[in-house]
Amino acid sequence: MNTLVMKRAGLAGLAGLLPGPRRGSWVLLGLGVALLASLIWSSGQGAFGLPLRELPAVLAAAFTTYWWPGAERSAAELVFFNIRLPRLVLAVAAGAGLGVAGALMQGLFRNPLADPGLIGVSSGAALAAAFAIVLGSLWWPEVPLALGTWPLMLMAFFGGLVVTALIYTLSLGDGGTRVGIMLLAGIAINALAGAGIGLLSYLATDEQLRNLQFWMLGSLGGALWEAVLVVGLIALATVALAQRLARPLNALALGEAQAVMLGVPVERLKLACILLTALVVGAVTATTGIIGFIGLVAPHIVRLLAGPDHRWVLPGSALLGAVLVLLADAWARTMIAPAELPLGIITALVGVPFFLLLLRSAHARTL
Amino acid sequence: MNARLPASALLPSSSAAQHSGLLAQAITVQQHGRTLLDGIDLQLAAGQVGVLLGPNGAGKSTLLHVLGGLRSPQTGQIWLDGEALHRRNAAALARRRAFLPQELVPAFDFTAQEVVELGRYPHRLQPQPDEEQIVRAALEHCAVAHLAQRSIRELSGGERARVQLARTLAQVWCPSADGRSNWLLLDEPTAALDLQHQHACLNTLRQWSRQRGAGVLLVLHDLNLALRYADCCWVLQDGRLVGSGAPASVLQPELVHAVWQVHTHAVRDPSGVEQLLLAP
Repeated sequence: MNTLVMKRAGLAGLAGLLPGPRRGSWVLLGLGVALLASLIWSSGQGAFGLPLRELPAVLAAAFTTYWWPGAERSAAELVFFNIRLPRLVLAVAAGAGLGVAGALMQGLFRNPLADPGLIGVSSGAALAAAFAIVLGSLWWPEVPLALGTWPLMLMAFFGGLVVTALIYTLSLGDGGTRVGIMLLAGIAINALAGAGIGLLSYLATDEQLRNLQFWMLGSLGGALWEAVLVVGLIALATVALAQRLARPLNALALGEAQAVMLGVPVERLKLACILLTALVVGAVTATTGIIGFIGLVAPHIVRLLAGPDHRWVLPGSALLGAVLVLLADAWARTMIAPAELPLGIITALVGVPFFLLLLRSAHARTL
Repeated sequence: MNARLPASALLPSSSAAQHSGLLAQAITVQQHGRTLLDGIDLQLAAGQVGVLLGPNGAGKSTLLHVLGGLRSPQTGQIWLDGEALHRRNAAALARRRAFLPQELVPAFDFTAQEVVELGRYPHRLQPQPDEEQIVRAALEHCAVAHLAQRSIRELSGGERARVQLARTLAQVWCPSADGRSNWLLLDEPTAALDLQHQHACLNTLRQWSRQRGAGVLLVLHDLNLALRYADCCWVLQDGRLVGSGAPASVLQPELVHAVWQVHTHAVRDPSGVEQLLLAP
């Protein structure tokens, strides 16, 4: 029997509807619709409730007052345009960025357990950024170091870059990367980053301390349009550029030697994966803090639905990552409203059981 | 038959550049102070099946990797149809040369068909009009068409080996656009196969070399398969070449005893092919 196809399509519950070769495009279409639906739904959720039927009017009003600033704005419009909308855009950008970064890492490591949070890329980025926040104010008081500003993004990018390159080098074995070493090195890096941020918190002022705490748990609460647009552009560019790596990554799944024999410029491919991952994880982490498990969960579900072809997995993980962060953030801001839960707590609550299940699955038996 | 090339007749580098076929001169590979290959010379024309033989650890796989450009030798040089091997021309070479490693399980749950489609990767910029047809034909050629939609990870070792063979065939399915010959390098393609598929595999490879003029070089352990299907063979022992030439003339009981420490005697099957029987 056709067990694999049944497994893939069975999860979609659409076995009869999805013809084989076109399945990937149907999955992408479905995820696009899901993204749109969760955008509309979550735009009404929050401390300031917004009934769905008022949404078109508020949306129209928000944009007309943006172009004609003289006009009067209602409270609903102000909340929506200045608080809700940038937050939604940031959720989409962060989710898409982390999702595609997870898919890239898994392709590079040839391993479905690689995740920017799990192996320490996010915490490396956060440590570098925390370093800049606390010590930067001593050494370069004139450089702005608020959340989501470019010096922080740059620091987070280098932090992520160093960790990705380090873990990749450490875990590289004869026939691929060794998962055990990859995960253990991730534990070490996460511990180091935790200790580093803990140490920095002793040196921090009260305001810096709040920023640091926020960093460790992740939140979209600080979304401001300036930062959101930068992260959004970086996430968009990463998703677009990653698509060019899709077929080479498929070939890399056969192993480095085979990829070379198929004419893949393997060294350039690996470098591109590492740079893109560090760039997008750095930008997202500098703005939102550490949001774990999106990069693990999204690619895995897309692979179950559409198969392992990176031409579908990369864009699909971006779409699904955006959906997941949108939903998790809607939950984070409504569950104990008017207070907010940190987003990282929710993604961990969902992600950890998922990860443990994955460890028990067939993939992990080849560790 | 491709007779053994005496050392004195080795081509100087200048004429090596015009030589067609696979040509290796004085290949030496050392690792951690051990000499894995010691001054190997080898020449294989397109349209022929060549076999590397030798006991475990003799250096067969290392030699195949060197000839495929996956590993650079400390000394010596390799030409493929007059072109020196570099990693730089790997992309162009991939359109007319395929390599089958010993055991290969992809990192993700690809179906057998998706694995064979990966063989068409080098041709993505100049695809043939019938790419899908090529993949299907390669699957049928290796008797794995019925497994096309199964996960490669769920297949048995032998089925997996046949899917990977189909992938390498798909990679060099069409004649090269510039009219140069195609090449197949295979590391123990028959290791996981049952009796029927061992012969089917070697039949396919021989047909491939005869009808399409492809050069086929493979590592084998079964001397009788080499005697039946190969045009020429090289016997390696401890990284040194101890015999080369037509299998029937190389694989004499004395050499087999010297290299593998087993007693054999040669017999002929009804079609006149020499085979070796183990003697107690």
